[in-house]
Amino acid sequence: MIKISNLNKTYHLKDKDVKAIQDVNLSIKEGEIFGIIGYSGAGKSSLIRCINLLEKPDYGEIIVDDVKLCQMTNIKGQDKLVTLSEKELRKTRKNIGMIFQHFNLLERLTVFENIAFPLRHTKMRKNDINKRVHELIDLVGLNDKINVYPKQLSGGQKQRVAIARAIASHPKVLLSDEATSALDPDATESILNLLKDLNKKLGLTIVMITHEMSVIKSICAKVAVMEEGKIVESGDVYSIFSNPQSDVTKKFVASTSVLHHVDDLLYHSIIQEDKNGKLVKLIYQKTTVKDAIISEVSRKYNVNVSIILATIEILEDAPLGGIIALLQGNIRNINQAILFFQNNDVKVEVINHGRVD
Amino acid sequence: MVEWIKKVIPNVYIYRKDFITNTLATLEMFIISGIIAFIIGLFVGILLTITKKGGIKQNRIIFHFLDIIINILRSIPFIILIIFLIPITRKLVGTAIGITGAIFPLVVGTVPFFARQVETTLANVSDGKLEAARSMGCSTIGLIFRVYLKEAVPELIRVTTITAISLIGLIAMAGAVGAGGLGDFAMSNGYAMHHTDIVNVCVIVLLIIVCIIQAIGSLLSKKTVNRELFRKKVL
Repeated sequence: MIKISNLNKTYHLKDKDVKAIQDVNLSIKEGEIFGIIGYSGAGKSSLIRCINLLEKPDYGEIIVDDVKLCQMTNIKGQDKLVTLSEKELRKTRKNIGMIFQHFNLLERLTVFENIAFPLRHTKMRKNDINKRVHELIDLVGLNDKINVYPKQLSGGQKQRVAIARAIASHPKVLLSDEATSALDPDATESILNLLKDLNKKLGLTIVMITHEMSVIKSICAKVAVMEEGKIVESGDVYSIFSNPQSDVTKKFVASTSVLHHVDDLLYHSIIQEDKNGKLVKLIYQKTTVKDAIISEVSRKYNVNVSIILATIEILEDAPLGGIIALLQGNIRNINQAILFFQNNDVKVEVINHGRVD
Repeated sequence: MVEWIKKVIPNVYIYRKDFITNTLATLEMFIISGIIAFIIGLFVGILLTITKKGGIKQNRIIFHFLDIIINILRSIPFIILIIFLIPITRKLVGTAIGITGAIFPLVVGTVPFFARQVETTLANVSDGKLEAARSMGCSTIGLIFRVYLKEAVPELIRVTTITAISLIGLIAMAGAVGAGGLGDFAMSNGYAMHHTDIVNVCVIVLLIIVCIIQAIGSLLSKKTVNRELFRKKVL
C-alpha cells in the first residue's frame, strides 16, 4: 500500500543542517496498522508528512496505493525530485486521510460542517454529502453533537470529529500524527479502539506516529523505531519488543515495563548484589511462557531463585513475559542455570550494579 | 425646539444647510473610500500572508515589494501624504479638491494600515488548520477562502472597525485641503470664524459616528464567533 524508498530530507537552518530523514525505506501492507515510534526530533513527524507530501523530501520515492507521489528522475545527468502536479496531488491526498495531535478542527464550523469540509466544493451533491456526514457521525458515535462547535467538545470528541473528517472521502490510508498525545488515558483508549475498529471494518491502512510505547503495544502489528532520522529497527511488534536490539528500542520497551523498577530497588539498596548471587533479567516468549523453568532450574542446579519483579504483557495476542530474579548459590551452578535458561529460549541478561553486562 | 437651538448653538443654526451638506459629505467619503480601501486592503493583506516566508505560496519578491511600499506609506503623516499625492490625484481623477479629490489619498492612507491588520489577523490562523485542509486536498484558493478568511471573520470585523474609525479621522484631516466634510466645516466655519459652537457640534457628530461604527463592529464580531448570524441547523 505504501512504499518508501531511499527517502532523505534535510532542513537547512541558519547555523547548521539538520538531517531529519536519512535513507529511510519502508513498506506498509494494505490493512496494516503500522507504528513509527521515536523520541521528539527523531524525524518521525517529517516522515509522516512526506507520505502525503505536506513536506517535500529532497530525495527518494514514495508510492501510495500505486500512485507515485514523488520519484527521482535523471535530468541532464542530475538526479532531480519530481512530484505529482498540484492538481494530481490534491486528488491523491483525498485518498490519504490525516489526523493530528491538536485536532486542527475549524473552530467556526459545527461538527457537521467540519466533517463535510472535504466533501464540499467537489462534484458530490448536497443530499449525498448530508447522507455521508450522518453516516460518519454514526460511525464515530457523535450523534448528539451534530450542531455543536468544537469549543464545546472534549479532546476525545474533537479527535473523533477529526477522524470522521479524515475518512470522509473514503481514503485507503490514514496517517495519524501523535493523534493521542494530547488526550487523557481514557480518551486515548477510546480513540485507539475506534482506529482499530475502522481498520477492521473498512480495511483502512493506518500509519501511526507516536512517542508512546503503550500506543504501539495496544494497536500496532508492525513497528519501526526511529532515531536521528534513521529507522534503527523495524518488524512485527512482538519480535521487536521481545528482542530489542538498539538502545532506543530497549529504552522504549523499558518505559512501559515494571522491570525497570529494579533500578530503583538497587538505588535504594532494597536489594543488593553479592558475590554468591547474580541478579538477572529473564525474558521469555510465547513458547516458554507456560513452562515451569524456574522451579526446574532451582531443583536441578540447587540454586535459590528469588523473584523480585515479574510481568507479563500481551502483544499482538501473544504473551511476552519478564522476570527480575536473584539467583543465589554456588557460582558454577548459577552459570549452569543461566546456560539452561538460554537453552530453553529464555533470554538472560545479567544485571551488575544496575547495568546490564 | 428651534428657539432652544438658536439660543444654544446659534451659528450652527445659521449655517445649518452647510452643516448638513458637510455631514453627508463626510459619510459619502467614508463609504466610498471605505469600500475601496477594504477591498484593496484585504487583497493586499491576503497577498502578504500567503507570500511571506513559510506561507502557502511563498514569494520573496512580491512580499518584499509590498512590505516596503506599506512601510513607506505608513511612515508618511497623512496630511503630508495628501499634499504629496496631489499631482497623482489630479492625473487620476482630474481634480485634487472636493470629495472626488479626497477619495484617492484616503484610500492610499488607509490601505497600508488595513493590510497590516489583515496580515496580523490571518497570521493567527494556526498552521495546523491549514495543514489539515491541505491534507484533505484543499487548493490555494480554498485555503484562502475556506480556512484563512472563514476562521478569521470575527477578527477581521474587529480590525475593519478599527480601520473605519481611523478613516473617520483621516477624512476630517482631508477637510484641511478642501475636501469638504465635517473637518473642513469645523475649521473654516468654526475655528476660523471663532464659532466655538460649530466646533463643538462637529466633535459631537464625529463622536456619534465613531460610536455607531464601534457598536456595529463589536456586535458583528461577537455574533460571528460561532456564526450565530448565518447559522443553519442540520437535523
